[in-house]
Amino acid sequence: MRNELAENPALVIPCSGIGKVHGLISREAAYLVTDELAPKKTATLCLALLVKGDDEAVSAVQSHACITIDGCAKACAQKNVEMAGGRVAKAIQVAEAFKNFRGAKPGNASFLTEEGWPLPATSPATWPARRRFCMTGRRIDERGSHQGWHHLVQWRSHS
Amino acid sequence: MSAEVTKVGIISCSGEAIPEGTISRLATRRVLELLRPDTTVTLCLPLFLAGNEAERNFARTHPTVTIDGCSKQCARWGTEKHSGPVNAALVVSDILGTESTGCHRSARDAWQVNKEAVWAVAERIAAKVDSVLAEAAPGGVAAAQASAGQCACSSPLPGGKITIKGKAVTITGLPLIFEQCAERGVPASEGDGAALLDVVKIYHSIAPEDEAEYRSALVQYQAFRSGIAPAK
Ligand code: SF4
Repeated sequence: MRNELAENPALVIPCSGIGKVHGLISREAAYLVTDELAPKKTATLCLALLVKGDDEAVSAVQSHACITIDGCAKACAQKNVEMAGGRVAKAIQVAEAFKNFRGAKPGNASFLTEEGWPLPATSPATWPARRRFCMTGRRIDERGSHQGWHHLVQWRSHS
Repeated sequence: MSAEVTKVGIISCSGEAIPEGTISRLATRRVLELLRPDTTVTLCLPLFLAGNEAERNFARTHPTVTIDGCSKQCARWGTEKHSGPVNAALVVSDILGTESTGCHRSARDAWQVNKEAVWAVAERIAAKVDSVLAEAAPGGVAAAQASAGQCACSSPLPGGKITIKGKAVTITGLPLIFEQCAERGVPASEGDGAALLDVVKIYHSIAPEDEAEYRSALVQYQAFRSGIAPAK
């Protein structure tokens, strides 16, 4: 993990809330970004390790742009990054994105339904989202904020 | 405390950086939804810091089991620092050892090895919950297992009915138990029915004198494995 944190300019930190599907979507959205869409620009770290006050985790959030993805308005990821002195470049809430997709049945805290998963990563339908994300990924590096992550979470859960 | 104890709190680290964190989260969900739905509750670990006093009091008001991905034991540390002492602490990497090799962080990549790992850890958590409850309130475990299962979102789990001594008996989560057996390759033939019975006994209390009848009733498992829906 140390090399990933050192080399990648942005950290994507989900809340991974265990009680609702929103937490699972936050977690899977983070993996989608760090593992598939922008693996060379982003990394993730354990939020619980940050809560614990681990030196490496605290220093990582202080020295990288952080994008927090929270399931609900309690905003645990955002608050814990801020409490650790981290720089939150963008705070996303999955619940906010849901407002535009009323009636969707994405699954529960344990699994996502087909409605909850995006199209297969290789599908041409994902290309616009990939392009949008990669562009916004660059913007995070250069300006410390952007608007693209919101679209990603929406796309992630409802495509 | 013992008279009031009805639920054990399970706190998972849900660590994002390694597959064991994902396993800790999913195994905790499995216990909440299927293995011990009536006797367990949970709380998001980061909520200890971000939440209010009531949330921080969690471990003071519940006997608590923490489940961590690795030896850093963030869930245990966070719970004990911000809430109170834990009754038991499990570590996924200790439980699985090299068996977690090949597991993935994302559920999208959840292969057979992930599923096996989640089941193995979930069963360890359930056993720990039972022993914590037995210490806190003897007799509480059997009473809790006899009641109907509900997932944490309060939607009932699908049950399966089999006939025992002429009466229909509902086993909570039976279709899921069959799925688990199929995934694990648990032998289903009558001669090997003991293995299947052992799995069902994890989820459903069976008196020793009824075991033979249960074992033969569970031959429907063979039908399930052959692609025929289990009896309703
Ligand atoms: S215990 Fe290990 S896996 Fe879990 S949050 Fe801490 S560092 Fe991550």
